[in-house]
Amino acid sequence: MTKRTVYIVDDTEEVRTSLVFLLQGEGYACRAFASGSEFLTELLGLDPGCVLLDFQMPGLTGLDVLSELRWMEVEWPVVMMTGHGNIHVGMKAMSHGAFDFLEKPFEEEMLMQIFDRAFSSGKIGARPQPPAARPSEG
Amino acid sequence: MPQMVWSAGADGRNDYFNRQWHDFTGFKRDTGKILNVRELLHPKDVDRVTAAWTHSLVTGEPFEIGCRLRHRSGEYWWTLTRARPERNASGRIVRWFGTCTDVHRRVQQQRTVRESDALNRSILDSTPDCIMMLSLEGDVVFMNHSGMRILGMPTSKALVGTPWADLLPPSAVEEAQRALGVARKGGRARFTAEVTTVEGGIAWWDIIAAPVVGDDGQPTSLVVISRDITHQKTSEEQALWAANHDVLTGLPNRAFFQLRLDQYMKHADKADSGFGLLLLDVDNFKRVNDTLGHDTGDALLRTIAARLKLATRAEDLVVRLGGDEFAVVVAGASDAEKIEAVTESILLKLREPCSSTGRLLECLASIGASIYRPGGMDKVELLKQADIALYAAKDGGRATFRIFEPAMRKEMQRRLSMLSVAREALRRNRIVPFYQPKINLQTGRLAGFEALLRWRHPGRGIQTPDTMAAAFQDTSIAQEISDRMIALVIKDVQDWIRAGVRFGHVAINAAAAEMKRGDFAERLLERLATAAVPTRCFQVEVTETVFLGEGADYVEHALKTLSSAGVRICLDDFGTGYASLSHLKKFPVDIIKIDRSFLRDLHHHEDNDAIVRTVINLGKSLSIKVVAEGIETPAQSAYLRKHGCEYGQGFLFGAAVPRKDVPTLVAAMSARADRLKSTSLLASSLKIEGGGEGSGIIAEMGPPLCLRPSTAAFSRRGKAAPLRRAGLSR
Repeated sequence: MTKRTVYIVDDTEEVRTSLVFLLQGEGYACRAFASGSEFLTELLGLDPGCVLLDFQMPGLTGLDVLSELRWMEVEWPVVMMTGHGNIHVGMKAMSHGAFDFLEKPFEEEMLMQIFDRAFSSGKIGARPQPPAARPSEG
Repeated sequence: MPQMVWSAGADGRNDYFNRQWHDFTGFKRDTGKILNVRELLHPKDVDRVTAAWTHSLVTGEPFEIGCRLRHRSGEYWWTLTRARPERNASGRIVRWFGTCTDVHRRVQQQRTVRESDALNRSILDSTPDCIMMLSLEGDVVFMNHSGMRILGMPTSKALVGTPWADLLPPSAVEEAQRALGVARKGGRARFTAEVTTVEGGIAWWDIIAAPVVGDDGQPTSLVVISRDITHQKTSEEQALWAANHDVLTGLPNRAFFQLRLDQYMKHADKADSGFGLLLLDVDNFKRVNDTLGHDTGDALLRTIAARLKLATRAEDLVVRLGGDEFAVVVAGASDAEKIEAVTESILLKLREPCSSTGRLLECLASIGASIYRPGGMDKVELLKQADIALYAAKDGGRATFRIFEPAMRKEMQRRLSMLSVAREALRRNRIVPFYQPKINLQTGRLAGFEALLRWRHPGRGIQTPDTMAAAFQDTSIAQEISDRMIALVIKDVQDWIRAGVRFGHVAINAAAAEMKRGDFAERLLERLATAAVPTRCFQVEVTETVFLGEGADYVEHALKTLSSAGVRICLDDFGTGYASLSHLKKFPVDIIKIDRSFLRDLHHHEDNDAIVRTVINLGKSLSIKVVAEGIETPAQSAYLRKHGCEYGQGFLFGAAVPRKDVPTLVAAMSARADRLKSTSLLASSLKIEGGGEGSGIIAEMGPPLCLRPSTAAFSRRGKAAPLRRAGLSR
């Protein structure tokens, strides 16, 4: 099996850098995006993976990105990062299809646990495809 | 001639007449009848003679009077009648002795001379020609009234003695002296001279000099007659002018241009300099002529001619080649910069507003230029290069200027081959519509299709319209292609309706030229009716440019007719053209399409971001649906959905597909929408972020079904479509 890939979407550079550093150290393939739109622009060319998504971003928010992934019928596990004390937002994300959520700042251990679960959830399927390219089921 | 003699008494009664009297009067002496002189007097002379005779009788003064007496022929002859009194010793008058001298012939001669004099004088004075008598030396002796008037002199006195040559312009003096020399020798000489009139104008004179011959056959003086032939000369010049000029604009014509172009080339070779040749073609002239009439077209051409004159120098040449084509020779311009400068000023001048009969006209032209360099090329090549550059300019849009480059020749050939490709595609039925899906961005449901032009290349497969782009500039081919497209699309739609394919709607693109044809709407509605295609399954997409220019009335008519029949009107490329918000109110626009160019850099370009959001909000405010075109990435789609854009179209949702793939695509889209609906993520997620503003916009652009044509008899606005009511459709 190929390397497990994690896509980090966060507008704070320090967060991206440290997460990439951390996850690469744990053997994950990483790609970081500074905004939701940057990530979604690339989406159709990406290999399947997990998405570590910041909730609070200018432009498209974490929830916008999550919504688009669902609209695109991309079923990859999405882990939503929320600000401290924003559990209700995290819950909302969960109710909208997020795999899990993390309150910032979080423990490395916690992150690793979630990814272990995510990658073994069997939800990481195929590469995303444009809607019209999907075969008809009817 | 012997005189008539008579005598009379002191009382004046005649008592004797001699034989000559009888001969004159015809009265016989032996009749014994003594006639009174008075009885033979001309009635008009009676009073005058009686008065003089009475005076003499009273005063005794001698009597003398000229009077007419009746000759035996019955005519009155002039006589000189005289009488003297004979007095007695005491001095009393006892008798009068009188004579009558026949002076009739002399008086008549005098009168003839006088009349002839008057005639001559009257001829001299009433002829418009200037008639002069000159001495043999060539000095003026006499000049008639016309001559004086021409010279602006009150009398001829001041002129008498002036050498004729002094009255002529220096250029004519030599000819005049030669003519006088011929006349002095008894001959006649004739020449033409150009003179300046007292008013400062130019006049042409035809001048004849001839001798006046005396009794000895020798010239005694000279006569010079000058005739004003300015009019004739002008007519000749006018004829020449007309042959070389365009009557409408007053500019030189093609014939003159050919001639002068040779001269410009010769001059350039000699002076080792160059010149620029500009060919101008008025933009959209045919449309002006067709829609506003020839008077307006003519006015436009005159305006352009005048502006070209204003924008060029005296040494340049401005020509109307014919139709809406003009040429300008820019003297001395041997490099691109100079030509560009002149062209800039021409385009600037043309851009000034131009109104004709209260209507604002667009007065623009495309310009192609070539440069002549000494010994460089022949005339044909020079013209050809400018022509190619003009084609290239026309291709680049209106009011464009291009200087010839060798690469253009290739381009030209490409364009020509595009035209033949288009003709061939039409002839061999290779035109095929492809259908690109439009998606409801909120629900994921298929909203409809835009029919796009494609053609099938026998070797290379499906081609996009840019491979025959040049053909769309040829109005007749463009219309034929459009006609074909509409027919094919209606056929496909008809098939899908029969097969129960839920395709939503199909939009066709209509070019401005088609809308301005006058009966576009009626023809389209009739075709839809014939095919039993409900109007609400049909959309017409137009670009903003159709609202502009001279044919806007036709466009308004077409759009309103279509709209009231239930065909929805979609404004394409919104934001790229010149459409104003008032157009959205004036014309029945149901849908606006955000141009793809605004989506391209959406996330890196704040302006585009602002424009897209503004258009979306504008649509909401005016209850106009908004479609975003050219959606290629999920990022764009997410952004548009987030801001409440209802519909999207682009590669992300699928490229245009052939008709046969449409049913499959419809089914796939429908299945996908059902899946999305079951996850029910979309609407609720928007509610969180959008604060309700963008939520709940799940209204379709039109019903996804067109299964019941009877309901389509009512337009979206709820009004019954007039054409349907009129029975044009089932």
